[in-house]
This record gives sequence, structure tokens and C-alpha cells, in this order.
Amino acid sequence: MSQEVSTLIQSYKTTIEIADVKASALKKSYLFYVLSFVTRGLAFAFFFPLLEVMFSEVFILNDALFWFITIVIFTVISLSFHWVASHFNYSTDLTDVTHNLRIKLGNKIKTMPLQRLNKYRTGELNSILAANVDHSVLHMGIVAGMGLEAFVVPVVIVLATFFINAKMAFAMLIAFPIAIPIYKWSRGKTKEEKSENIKVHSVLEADTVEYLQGLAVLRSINQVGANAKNLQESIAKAREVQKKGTLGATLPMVVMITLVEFVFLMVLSLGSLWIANATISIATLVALLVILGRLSEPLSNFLAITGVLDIMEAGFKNIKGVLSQKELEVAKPIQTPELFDIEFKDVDFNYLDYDTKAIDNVSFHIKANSLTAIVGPSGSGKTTITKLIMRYDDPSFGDIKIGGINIKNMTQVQLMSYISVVFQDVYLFDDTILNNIRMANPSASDEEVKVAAQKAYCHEFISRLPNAYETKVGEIGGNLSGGEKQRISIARAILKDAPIVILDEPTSALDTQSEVAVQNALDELIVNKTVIVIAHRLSTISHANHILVMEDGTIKEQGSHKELVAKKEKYYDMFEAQQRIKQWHIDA
Amino acid sequence: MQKNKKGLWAILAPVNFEIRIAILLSAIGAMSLIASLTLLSFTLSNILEGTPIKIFDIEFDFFTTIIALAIITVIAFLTRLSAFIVSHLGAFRLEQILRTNLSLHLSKVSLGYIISTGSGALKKVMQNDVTALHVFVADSTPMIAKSIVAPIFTMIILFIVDYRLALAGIFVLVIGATVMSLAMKDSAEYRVKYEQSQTDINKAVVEFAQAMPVVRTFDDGSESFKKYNDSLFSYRKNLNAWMAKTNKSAKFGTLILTPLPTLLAILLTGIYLLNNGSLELSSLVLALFLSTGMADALMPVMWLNNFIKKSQASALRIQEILDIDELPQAKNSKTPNDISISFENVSFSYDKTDKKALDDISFVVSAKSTTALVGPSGAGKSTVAKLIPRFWDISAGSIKIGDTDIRDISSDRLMDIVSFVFQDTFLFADTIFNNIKMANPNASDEDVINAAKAAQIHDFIISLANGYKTKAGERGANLSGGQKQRITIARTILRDNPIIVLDEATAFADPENEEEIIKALANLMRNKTVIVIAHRLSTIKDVDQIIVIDEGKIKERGKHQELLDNKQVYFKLWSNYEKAQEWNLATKEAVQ
Repeated sequence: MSQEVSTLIQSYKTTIEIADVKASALKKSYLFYVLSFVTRGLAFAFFFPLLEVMFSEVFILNDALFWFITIVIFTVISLSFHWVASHFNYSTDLTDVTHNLRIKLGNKIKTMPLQRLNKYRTGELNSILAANVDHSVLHMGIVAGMGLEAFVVPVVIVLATFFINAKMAFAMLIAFPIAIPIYKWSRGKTKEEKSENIKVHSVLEADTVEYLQGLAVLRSINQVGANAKNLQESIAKAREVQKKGTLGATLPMVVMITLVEFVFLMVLSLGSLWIANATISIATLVALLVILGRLSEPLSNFLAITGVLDIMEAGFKNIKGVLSQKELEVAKPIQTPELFDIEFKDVDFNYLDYDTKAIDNVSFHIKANSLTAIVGPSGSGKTTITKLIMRYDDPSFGDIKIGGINIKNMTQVQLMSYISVVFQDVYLFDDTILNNIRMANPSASDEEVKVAAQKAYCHEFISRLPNAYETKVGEIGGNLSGGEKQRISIARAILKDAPIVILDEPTSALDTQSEVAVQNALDELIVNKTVIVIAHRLSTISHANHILVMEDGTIKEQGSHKELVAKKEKYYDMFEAQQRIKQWHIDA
Repeated sequence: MQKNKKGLWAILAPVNFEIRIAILLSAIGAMSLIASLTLLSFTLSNILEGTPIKIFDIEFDFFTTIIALAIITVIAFLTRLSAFIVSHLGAFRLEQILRTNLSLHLSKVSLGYIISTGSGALKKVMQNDVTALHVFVADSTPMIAKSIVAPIFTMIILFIVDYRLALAGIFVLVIGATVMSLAMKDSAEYRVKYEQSQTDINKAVVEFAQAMPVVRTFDDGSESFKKYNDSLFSYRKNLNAWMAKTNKSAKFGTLILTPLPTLLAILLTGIYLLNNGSLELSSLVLALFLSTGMADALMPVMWLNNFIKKSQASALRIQEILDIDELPQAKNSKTPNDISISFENVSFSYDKTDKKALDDISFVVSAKSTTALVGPSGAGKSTVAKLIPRFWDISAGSIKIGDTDIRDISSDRLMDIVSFVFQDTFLFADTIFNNIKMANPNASDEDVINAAKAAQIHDFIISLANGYKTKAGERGANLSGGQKQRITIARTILRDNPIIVLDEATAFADPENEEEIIKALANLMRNKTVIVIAHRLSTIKDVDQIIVIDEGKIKERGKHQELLDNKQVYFKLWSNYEKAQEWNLATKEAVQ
């Protein structure tokens, strides 16, 4: 019991937390709910005297009216309190709460370290910002009201009855000791069989994915449909496990639903005994049974919504999870770099939940306006280095400096204003092409945007679109080729004109036609900038001022192309292998 | 609406029996409570008046009443329990039926549909939508009893016993329902606006969250944040407007439907009738017990409605998949006479739109020769390649292997003739050995190992702790893309189909393994009829035939040097290619 109560108390606290500046309005609502339920309980208590009068041998109208009006008065008071209490659920206060919460969440997402942001799958963030806030917050007042009702009304009735007839109060109390262990039992069962269920369903899900993705292969060996052994077995197993759990799942629920009748029976039996020895009257017994019926109502309502409560609690948890993310600390004093060379000094870094270091004691210095290439096998740490420059998260050891100033002494906005990135994937917003490019520099004029597009070799193909620059991305349904998208990405970077440019394998996923155009665009972009490029094709970076060869998170070699080839080590091997691949062709 | 309803119940049809039984049982269970209360009200009031009632010659004093009540309670319990059990068992059976049917149907539709819809979307339907229907079958049946049968039965009994009290009980209910429906009537448009802004928030959130890594690199997020912000403000505005319109009547409605108002109405009527001596006590007691039952049903009715709507959406999605046409299979599968491929006046469009992906394509690939398809992206190269294993059916013309149209070859047989190697690195949750062997269950262990050797993956496999017995797949070993690719190539080598359709990009998907994969592919292509989609023009310099495709049409065809001499499309492609290969990123300014 105490555990359930404590989770309810926890939920109460969470609702207050979420209400934030409107907390007092919410508390007022809760208070009035309680008052409403107390007076409702009292109204019910007066059923006893009224029914005595109505069932007595001689009916005295005035007595009946007296009690009736008493009940009416308490009812009206109770309903008024309820009216005031439920106001919160339909008020601008509540909408403000959801509004403010979403703004807070949005701000958090803007400022939390990218590493933590990436921990959330896209779907997750959507559901937290949209669905979770809806389900958890919009209805929290109503659900809280129902919870309070289920608790307060019965308690008040029992207490009030105590003053009327202690025996009756005692009879009512019979209901509780039975309900609680049964409730716990039903919740316990559900959680236990839930995990069995979850297991067998996740296996089913994996087998379904396997079936669908491997369908081509399975078809070729006729392991499909009824012959798809793995899948059919998992489907059957899911049914078996659920079948086994049926009784366990349904029994507690049915017991709870039938509880009303059980309790009636018990009270009736007890009551009949008391009537037999004239301790109470039949009128009292009838009143008792009527009130008992009203006791069980809020209880069963509440049980019906425990499922909703679970969803709400899960939603709260997710919301709090986002809100509690630590932001990156900006160290004082905030400084502005004048030059844009980049230095890594003794940097260590590992990703969250990983023990192995992604970067291990890495030090290097990139001169301003130079071109540096980072090469190496995947997982060697190339991308990690570029991420750290953007302060994806803080290194566990060491310093990263731009222009001699530690990036911790810059705000995130400031830091990102010095860096342009061209990723392999290009994200286009559902907006015009013009705005998609302009986002890199919101204060740029249309002319400036078009100049950037020309330099990025986009102008031609954009002009051929249905509405040229005003074409909305959604309209063309993503019908831009990889190379065209890439050039828009480069146009953004050109428009932004940041002193540092990071290129992450920009030509790797392109077809021949696009490659040349993109290459031309890149040539424009890197003029007068400090450039870091992650490249696989070594032939494209052989003119770089500096090449870092990475493996397992450390720099294995560094130098110019000539120097590295002469060493005849890792770089040389990679280069030679690529030369051989270039020679490959299919024999006739 | 009617059509939709049909969808849901049609999908549930296989378990109609369980559904009907469950509804019947739970209706009995619901009515039993009402019956017991009715009995109780009569026996109690008669005992009160000193004249206990007699039924079937049995006098109903307290003791008998309690026994009768106990019996009814047990009946109620058992019927409810069995209703639940039946509905749940039906739900589980339905799940199995639907999932099996879906998997079976999907094995017969065109592979093209599966690929374009995506396994993710299909899995969602097979998992989530089927589960949604399970929940519906399992949980809706008791709700139907509670929300429909119980209140109707209650009303009937009340009216029979004392219509005046019945009217008093309904009176309050009617006022509440009227007020609420009046409120709902005018608020429809507000609701629509609210739901629209809910959708807008969802959209803005998706963009905001998905774009965040990109957005952060360009500004402080204020642009996309602005969109998000705007959607929030509009949502708040619409929600406030809707609530302002409906809140008074909503609050009033909820209040009226609490038990006290109904009970008070009945008590007042009771007092009045008692006063003029025209009330049977039993009627009063019955009314007090039962009257609130009708208002109580209102909430389950709303839940049920919502429930049905949600389940309809799932049913629709399931039906959509089941409605996709299966790939027509030839009655008697023919066998081609050789392993050449010919396209004769083939036209094809992806959906039934006018836009032709391929327009009157004709060419021949002679047996054991290699043909390369080149052209700009989206030109139609991969479409041509995918039509050979019959991923889709064409709209005009004929694709033949040897002398036989591929539509006259059964899917099974076709899969024995054509292998396609795309960037598919899917491995099954099984040992590496079995993943290779599944291509040919009759292969010997030696055959499997030879295939692995030819695919340049044998050395890697034996370097693993469990060698060939290492588990692959998602829940298995952590293999790189290139390693997985070579295992699937081994699979294809073992299968030894005479025709190979290959996407050259395969080789370059995993930079570290390029050399090995290239060697593996070279082994794969030996002595076969090969169609390769080429990206790196240098690799296909020496093939037997190069076909240049652009905008769905063949622009040129011939050998490399011929095409260069033509100085047309291919020539331009080749020059661009060479230029791209020479390219070198370099700064133009001196280093400081």
C-alpha cells in the first residue's frame, strides 16, 4: 500500500513541478477538489437519517424535507467547489502550462550537448515534445481529480458514518481491506507477465524484420509463408505465452469488477445479523447499501484509469529526462579569437556508455587558412575529432583551442558562427530553396543568397525548377539528386562565410555527373579558410598542407603526402591499395 | 463511415465466434448485477413491510436472499471471467491468423513493393496494427456490455417497476446530455482547428528535432525554433478558443452526471409520492440502487467510440497490404533454352502515373557476356536491373531469358536463374556457415568453404573465436559492412546462378574492404551472364557491351572505344569521370 501511495505522491509532486509558474493555480484546483469531495461525502452521510424517515411506518413530510434540504445544501456546496476546481482543466492556465513546458523543452534541445541529443532516437524526441506533453499534461488535472475522488469520498463517508453508527462504519471498512491486496495482486501480476510478454514480442519483432528484409533470399529458397520456420514459430510462441498468461491477466480484473457484488453480499450478511438482534434497522441497511454502491464507483473509475496513469507517469519521466540534461558550461571569461588556427592538446574522449577511448591522447596543430586532411579506417576517430571541434561534448581530458582560446570560453552560438560544416547527408527544410540556403545567414539578402548559389554551381539547376528559388522543397518531393543537394549544402557554407570549414567525405555518395560540379563548388568554398576534410579517396587530398593518419583513436602518422608516402607505412599501404583499385576493371 | 466500419469488422471476421460469445457472456454478467439488485430491493422492502415475498413457494427472508444473491454473484463472476477469457483467446488467435496471412501474402507480391514500402513500415503493420486489433477484441467486448446492454436493461426494468421514478432518474441524465451535445454542436469547427494545430506541432517538432544537429551548425536554432515557436503559439490560441467555447457546458455536463443530482431527483420524487401514498418502497429502493447506472455508462460509451476509431485505422492498414495484387504466376513454368537476356520494347512506370521510368527499351545480352549500364542517376539503370529478377511487372513489351518471357517462368525457377547483388548486407540470425549454406541446402561443407574463399572472407571467418559457427545477424557478431557484404557474396557464389545482376556500388560501400570485395566480385562474375550497373567508368572499360541510359531511354550502345569515338553522351560522361578522378582539393592561398 505504501508503495502505491508513494508513487501517487510522487506523481502529485511531478504535476506541481510541471505546472511551474502556474503551480499555485493547480494547487488551488486540488484544494477545491478535496473540499468538493469532503462535502460530497458528508452529503452522502445524511442519506442515513433521510432514508430512516422515508422507510418508517409513519411518514413525516417535514422531517423528510429537512434532511432532504440538508443533503441538497451539501450537494450544491460540493458541486460549486467542483466547478471551481475543474476550472483549471479548461483554463488558459493549463494551456499556458503545456505551452511553457514545450518552450522549455525546445530550449533544452537547442542547448544540450549534441552527444546527449543524439542519444535520443528521432521518434523519441517527437513523442516527448508532442504526444507526451499532450497525454501527460493536458489531462493531469482531471486524472488527479479522479484519484483524489477515489480516496477522499470513501474516507469521508466512513468517517461521517462513524458518527452516525459505528457499526455501519465498521461494515464499510470491510470493503477496503479486501480491495487493496486484490489491487496489488492484479498490478503485480500484470507487471510480471508483462516482462514475459515483452520478451517474446521483441523476439517476434526481430524475426518479423528478418523475414521482411531477407524476403528476397527466403523466396529464392522457398522459406516463405508457412515455410518461414523462424517467423511462424515466433508467432505461435507469442500466442502460447499470452494464452498462458490469460488467466493471470483477466482474473484480478474480473475480481475487482465483481468486488461490488462481493462486498454487497458481505455487508448484507453482516447487516442481516445485526437486524436480527435489532441493532440496526432495515432502513439503515438499505441506506448503507445505497451508499456502498456510490463508494465503489469512484474506486472502479480510478482502477479503469490506472492504465492511463501508467502512460502519464512514463510521459512525465521522459519529460523530466529531457529537462534534467546538463548543458555545456561556458567558462568565464568569454573570449573572441582573432585567428583561426586549431589546436588539440592531449585530448582524450570516449562516447557515453563506451569504455574504450574514441580519442586517445591526441595532439596536433592546424595552421590558419591551411588544408588538413584526416584519413584512416572507420572507427579510427576522424569524425570524432571534427565533432569535438564543434563541442559535441567536452573531452574527458585535454584542451581544444581556436586562435589560442579554449572553446570552453566561447558560447555555443559564438563557436558555431566560426564553423561551417558540409555533411554527407543534407537536411532540407520544408521551405523554399532560397530560405534553405539563407538559413546559414538569416540576415542575408536575396542577392547575396543567389551569389552564394552561383559560386556553389547550383544556380543553373535551381533556375530550372518550377518556381526557381521560390520552389518549396516539399513540392519537388525530394527529387533533387545527391549532387544537387550537396551543392545546396555547400551554398549554405559559402553564404555563411565562416573562417573554419569542415568537410565530411563530401563526394563519396555521388554519381559521376554530380561529382565534377560538387568538386568545383568545393574549390570555391575553401578559399581563404581553415579547412579540415575527412576523406577516403587519398588521391583527392594529396595536395593538402597536412595529413593526419588515424587509427584506433590515435594519430599514427602525420605529414604531407610526399613525406608519408616516403615512410612506406600505413599511409603508403592505403595509398597503394587505392591505386590498385583504380586499375581494376572487369575482364571481357 | 459505413465503408470503414465494414473494414474493421471484416478483418475481425475469423474470430467472430469468440467475439459473439464474449459479448453474450459479458452481457449476462452485466445483467446479473442488475438482477441481483432488483431482487435485493424487492426482498428488503418486503421484509421491511413484514411481508417477505414468495417466489416458487420459497419465502425470501434474509437468509434466502443472501443465498440467492450469492448464487447470482457467482454466476456474474463466472460469466464475466469466461467472457474475458474467450475474448482474449480469440484475440490471440486473431493475431496469429493475421500475422500468418500477412507474411504469406507478402511472399507473393512483387519484391519491388516490399522494397519501396520498406521493411520498417511493413513491420509496423505486422506488429503494431495487429496488436491494436488484439487489444480491441480482448478489451472492447466487456465495454460493449457495460456501455450498451447494462443501461438499456436498467432503463427497461425501472420503467416496468415505476415509470415515475424512472423518469426522475432519466430527467437529470437528459438535461446533462442535451447541454453537452449543444456544446459539442457549435464547437466542431473549433475542434478541427485545434486538431490541425496539433498536427502542425507534430510537424514542427519533427523538423526541429531531426534537423537539430544541422541547425545547430548554422545558427543558434532560432529559425527552425521560430517555426516551432509559431506552431506552439497557434496551438495555444486554438486550444484556448476551443476551451472557451466548450468549458462551461463541459463542466456543467460532468457535474450533472455525478451521482448526487440523479439521486436527489429520485429522492425528491420519492418524498412527493410517499406523501400522497402512491409509492411502493421496493420501487424506491430499486431506483436508488439502479438509477445512476445509466449515467455511469456514458463514459464507457465515449471510450468505446474512440477505441473503434483507432482500431479502424489499424484495420485499414492491414487491409491495404492484403489488397495488393500478387505477382501473377504462370500455370506451367517454362524453362529457357539459354542464359541470354533480351529486353523487347519494354516500358515501365513505378506507379500507375504517366511518367515512364523506362520508355521502349530494347537490347540483348548474349549468354556469358557482360553488359554495363551507365547514365546519370535516376536515369533508369537500376530500374532495368531490378526488372530482370521481376521485382515488378512491366507495362509494355517483354523481358526474356533465352526464348522465354520471364512472366512464364515461376518465381521459384526465376530465383534459380537470376541472382542480384545490391548493397544488401542482410544476414540471418544464424551461424555464418548457415547463412552461406542457405543458398544451397544440398551443398557440402567443402562447397561452403570454397565459396567463402572465393568471396575473400574465409580468412576472416576462421580468425573469429567460433569460426564458421559464429552467430551473425542483428543479435550476433559485430560485423562491418564490408564483411557482411562478402558473406552475402559467398552466398551468391554458392548459389551459382547463371545470371548475375550487380550494382557496382557494392564494391565501394565499405572503403576498408574495397580490394577484397572487388576480388570477390571478380570471382562471382566468372563464366556468367552479367549485367552491371556501373558508376566508376574505368571499371567497365573492357566489357562486351555498354548501354547508356538517360531519361528512361537508351541513348547509345556499343563498346568503350566506339562510344568514345561517337563523341556523344558516353564521351561526355567519360570526360567528366576523368576530370573527377584527377581532382584534388587544395587551397589557393599561401599558408600563414
